Amino acid sequence: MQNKQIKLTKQNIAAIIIIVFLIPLTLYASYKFSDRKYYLTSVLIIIYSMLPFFFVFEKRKPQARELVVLAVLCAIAVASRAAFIWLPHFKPMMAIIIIIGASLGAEAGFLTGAVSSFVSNFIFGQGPWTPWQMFSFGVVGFLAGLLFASGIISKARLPLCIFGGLSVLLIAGPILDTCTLFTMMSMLTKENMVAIYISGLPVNAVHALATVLTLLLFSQPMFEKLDRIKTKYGVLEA
Amino acid sequence: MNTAFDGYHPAVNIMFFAGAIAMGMFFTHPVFLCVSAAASALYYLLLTHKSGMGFLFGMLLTALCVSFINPFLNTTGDTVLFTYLNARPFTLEALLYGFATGGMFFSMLMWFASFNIIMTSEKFIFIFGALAPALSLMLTMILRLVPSFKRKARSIAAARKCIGKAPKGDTKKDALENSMSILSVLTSWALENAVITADSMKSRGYGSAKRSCFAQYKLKKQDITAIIIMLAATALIASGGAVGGVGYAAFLLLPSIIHVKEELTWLILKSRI
Repeated sequence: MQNKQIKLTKQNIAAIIIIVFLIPLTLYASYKFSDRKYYLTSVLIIIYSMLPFFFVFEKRKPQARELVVLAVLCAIAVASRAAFIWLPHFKPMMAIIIIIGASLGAEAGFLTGAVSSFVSNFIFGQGPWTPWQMFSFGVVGFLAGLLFASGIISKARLPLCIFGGLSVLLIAGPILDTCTLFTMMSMLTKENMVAIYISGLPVNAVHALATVLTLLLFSQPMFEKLDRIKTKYGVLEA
Repeated sequence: MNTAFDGYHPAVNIMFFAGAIAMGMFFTHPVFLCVSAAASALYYLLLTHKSGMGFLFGMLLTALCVSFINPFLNTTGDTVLFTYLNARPFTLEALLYGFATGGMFFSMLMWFASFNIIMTSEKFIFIFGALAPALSLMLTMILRLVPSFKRKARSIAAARKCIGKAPKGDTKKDALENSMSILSVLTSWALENAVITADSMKSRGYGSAKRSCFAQYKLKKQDITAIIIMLAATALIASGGAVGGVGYAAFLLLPSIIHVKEELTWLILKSRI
């Protein structure tokens, strides 16, 4: 527990440095030296906000068991699509990230979310969307971890499904739509914002449905398996 | 895939693509945009030959759509080309802005398409292995596990069929439940295996020394030359004006030039046989 306290402080310091200095600096530079570099500015900010997580993970020098279990969970999240190949557009990855975040904590949730989406882009192709995907999946995993740790949401099916559906519709989906907005539009007007977010809605709804269904059918067995690993081998006890 | 620029040091590869992509997003001057779009398309075609034509034209079409959608969503501008729907203007300025965005969109996607061919995960891990050893080890493991899990998922499905646990009906619900069971079996198997792998890693000394990398790349003379050219071109770009445009073209055409030079050398050598 003592160790954990120190860990969080370190992360906080790095985060504070980034929030206080780098993000305003980037915003100022983008405002001052270039007009409307929405994409470049936002990607820089996204990368800054992901760095502390990676930095803390490296600094901690994770043990083999933690590392391999996280790698295996990421690989399951990426490969899970293969089990549903007969159902087009069914992506269970977000649900698995939420389960990992809830079961193993916010940090593990963020890492598996960001790393899984990065790896899946090695298969489907990297692009301007990569940092956004990493960020959106990471943030949902992180939030799942935080909300479960603070007891706001329990591991029961219903609250889990509500969280899963809402987090895709209100967090991950809009983040990815913003990426589309910044890459496809030269200027931000009310009309093109409305057009992009509305055209993203059906895709996000299908994604949310897949997430809810996976959570409904798969969350309880997955929790059991993760708990078993935790008690049997003592790995990753959040 | 064995192309000329591919044989350069991964640091040179990533320097080029990071530079090309970041500058492509930064410079909105029409000349710079045209240079970037042309250079990215040229290099992509050099890498893929005829097979890349379909993707290239698809992206060109998408970029044109992006360009022509803009004036419909953005009505600012003085030169009205025509009006529609209760005098809503379609302006030239908005259309030109659309072309700028479309051009940037096109060159970004083209650079990323070449990036995906050149920057294999192996090179990525080589570069980041020193910076982030734990994360890049994780990356290596995941990239190896994903295909193995896909195979395992197929064999689990086959085994379930054998023992009469295939989906009973033809309904989506049965199939979905079956897929969830496969995923569940896969997870149990994978997690148990993970701990065995980790213990084996530990007993063979994971973490006791600095990690080495399977792929070894050495900085050669050609890499240093390429870095110097890129730095010189960046200096030209920073000086601005027409010289900046020349520097930008020199930077972006570097991999294409290396590629063509290599093919010409090969042709000459072949003709001597």
